[in-house]
Amino acid sequence: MFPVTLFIFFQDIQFLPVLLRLFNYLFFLSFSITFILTLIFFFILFFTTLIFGRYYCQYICALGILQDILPSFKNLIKNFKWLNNKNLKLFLRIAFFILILFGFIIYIEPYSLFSKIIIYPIKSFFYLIYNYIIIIFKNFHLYLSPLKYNIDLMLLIINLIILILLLILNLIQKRFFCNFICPTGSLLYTLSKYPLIGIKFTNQCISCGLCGNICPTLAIDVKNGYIDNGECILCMKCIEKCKYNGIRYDFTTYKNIKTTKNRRYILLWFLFIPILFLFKKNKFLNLFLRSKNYKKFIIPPGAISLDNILTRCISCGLCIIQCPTKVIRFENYIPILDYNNKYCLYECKRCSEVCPVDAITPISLKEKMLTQIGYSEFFISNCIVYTDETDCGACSEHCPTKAVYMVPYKNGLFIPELDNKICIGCGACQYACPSKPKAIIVKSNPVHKKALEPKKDKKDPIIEEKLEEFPF
Amino acid sequence: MERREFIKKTLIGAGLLASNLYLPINLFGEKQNEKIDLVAVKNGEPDIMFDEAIKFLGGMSNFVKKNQIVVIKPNIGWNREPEMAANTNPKLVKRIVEHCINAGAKKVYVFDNTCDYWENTYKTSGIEKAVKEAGGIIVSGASESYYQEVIVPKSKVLPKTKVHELIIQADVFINVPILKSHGSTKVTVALKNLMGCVWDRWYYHSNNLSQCIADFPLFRKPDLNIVDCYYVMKSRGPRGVSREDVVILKSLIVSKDIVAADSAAITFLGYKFEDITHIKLANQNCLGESDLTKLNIKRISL
Repeated sequence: MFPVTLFIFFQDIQFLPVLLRLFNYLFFLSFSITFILTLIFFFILFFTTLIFGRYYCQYICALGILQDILPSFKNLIKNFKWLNNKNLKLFLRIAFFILILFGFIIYIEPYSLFSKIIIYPIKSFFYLIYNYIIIIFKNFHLYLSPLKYNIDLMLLIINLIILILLLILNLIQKRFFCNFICPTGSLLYTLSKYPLIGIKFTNQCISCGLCGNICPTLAIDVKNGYIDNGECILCMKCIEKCKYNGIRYDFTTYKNIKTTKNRRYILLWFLFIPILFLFKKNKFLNLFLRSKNYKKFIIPPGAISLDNILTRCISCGLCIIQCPTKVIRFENYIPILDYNNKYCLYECKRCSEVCPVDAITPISLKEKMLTQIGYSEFFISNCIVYTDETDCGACSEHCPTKAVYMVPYKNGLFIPELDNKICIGCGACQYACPSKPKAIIVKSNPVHKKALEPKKDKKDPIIEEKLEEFPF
Repeated sequence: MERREFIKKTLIGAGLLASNLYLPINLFGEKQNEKIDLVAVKNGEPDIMFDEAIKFLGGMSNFVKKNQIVVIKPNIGWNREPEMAANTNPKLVKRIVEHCINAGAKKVYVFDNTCDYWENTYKTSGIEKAVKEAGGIIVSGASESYYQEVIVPKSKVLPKTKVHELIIQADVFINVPILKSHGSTKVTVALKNLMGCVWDRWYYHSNNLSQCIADFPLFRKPDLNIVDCYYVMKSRGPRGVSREDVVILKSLIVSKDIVAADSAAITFLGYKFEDITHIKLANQNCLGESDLTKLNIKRISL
């Protein structure tokens, strides 16, 4: 269980998702335990950054760590002097902030971007190879199970291009994304501008300029003897490399520091709050990337309503990769359930457990089993019992609540009948239906409803029928 | 042969026969045991009932020889706990695997092409754990690459189908279904359990389900059928919804004859073989005897 809880912990403390979650709880006025937990996470991140600086980018942010791993040319940025300009940085950061407003959070938020890069180009490639390997293993009588995955070619190409772009930018400048684009970085910059403990020069410094050269975030300005602690991500490379103990991580004093124009970074916070309010009305969010009529799409249990998922979802794709049957896929960056080849498992709520922004809110298994995400419709003219007059019943077989049940038809045959009061829209019937086109189709509930309980479970043990004599 | 000799031998033979009739010594005891077509046991735990039943069929060594490969096909179709009666009882599967290994089997494979997601069903049903404890190998049936196309001889609607290659390769094939009700075929027992050996269940459903079920054993009949009737799902099968669907019958049926096993098991649910289309059709395919009165049944009560 430990790795799972660790995984969930890391996903819970991602900075921007925590902020979004917090604001959403405030909007919807839901003060549950998860709200308190989110509040605690937020305060931990907020105050530790105020005290220790921007450690978050180096030690928690997954995209930052990925960029550290990717190769980079040293000093290439020196050829692009115009890039290393404080005003340009500020301009770019504010520009990308405004892009969030138009729904580009999907590709700007580092956590969401990282998970999409991992899921689409990297993981699907790995799955493909794994599935070929197990065919070879078969010859040694090792029957391993294939990994299920769904490839969305469009998303795969987009994310592959982004990965390559990230790689190229990283070649020019280590952590290019963190330096110029990342909105989380920008917010944390304002917090860690004047930390309690930070990097500073000591008396032993000989101004050799080594630290300035190796700094991945260009925080050290040796010429002016100035360190921008807002940019510093505490990688400690400068301290490691300095032979003269000329630089140190210690309590800072701000006597000599020129506190000039960079205060305008506080503006970002003022910009951020209206963005969050606009999130509530998803008009802006869905202007470019999500412009489609979603009414017919079925959304995962726990998502409450289409409006809810449209406002909250940052399209990180965690629900997609964690879904055991891979029934969830992206449709214009919204996770939807596609029942033609798969269906939603009755005893599973994995997607609601992993969602970092609570777009799919955490629900108990009992709630999930009664959440009606859709309802089924039966088209008798396509049904095999009607057309071929043979046995089938695949839909009823798979139905976990028996909302689809078989009733006598003719010639000893049985035909499906529906009870949509207890249907939860899991799609097992649509998946199981062998006829083409499908005779039973699940339609969406744009706002999730509550289904009736199939039949009350008896608390007492199962009845024992004592056999006096064999019936044959 | 001389006349005298003939008379002598006839007399000796007659004497022996007479002794068999009147004396308590059972000279043909061994042979009589072989004649048992079906063993039914009641009022015991699944594993103990199987121990009893297999004795009357000459022990597991009668079916599994040394260094043979055995494949066991239980029902692990659904993501349900053992007492929900959707899957074969893990205790029974465990004991069968142990018997096979004691009889000298080289490898004992267990698999099912599940309906729900395989990883969950293997785990929730408790069969994965049981098989591993007993020393068998639980394998996956979730990849199409494991299934090979075979021709089903004399088949009416199922000319060819993709079958898990273990079914094709194994020396001994043991079918371990559980007795359940079913929405459209009314019951699911041994014959219907074999649907989990093939890849394309959808073909069955869209091409006369009952006839397909009755045709498949023409490809390979299980060497032994062990019907688990400990927990029995009486309604809303084959998945079941709640505990109300389940009763405890504490019975077991073991037979070499797949049709006989089916016809006997369905009587627990109050059916006769005439009521169930696929059993009737299997009988027409000469897969076994469905008339229980023609069978030599050994009934045991523990």
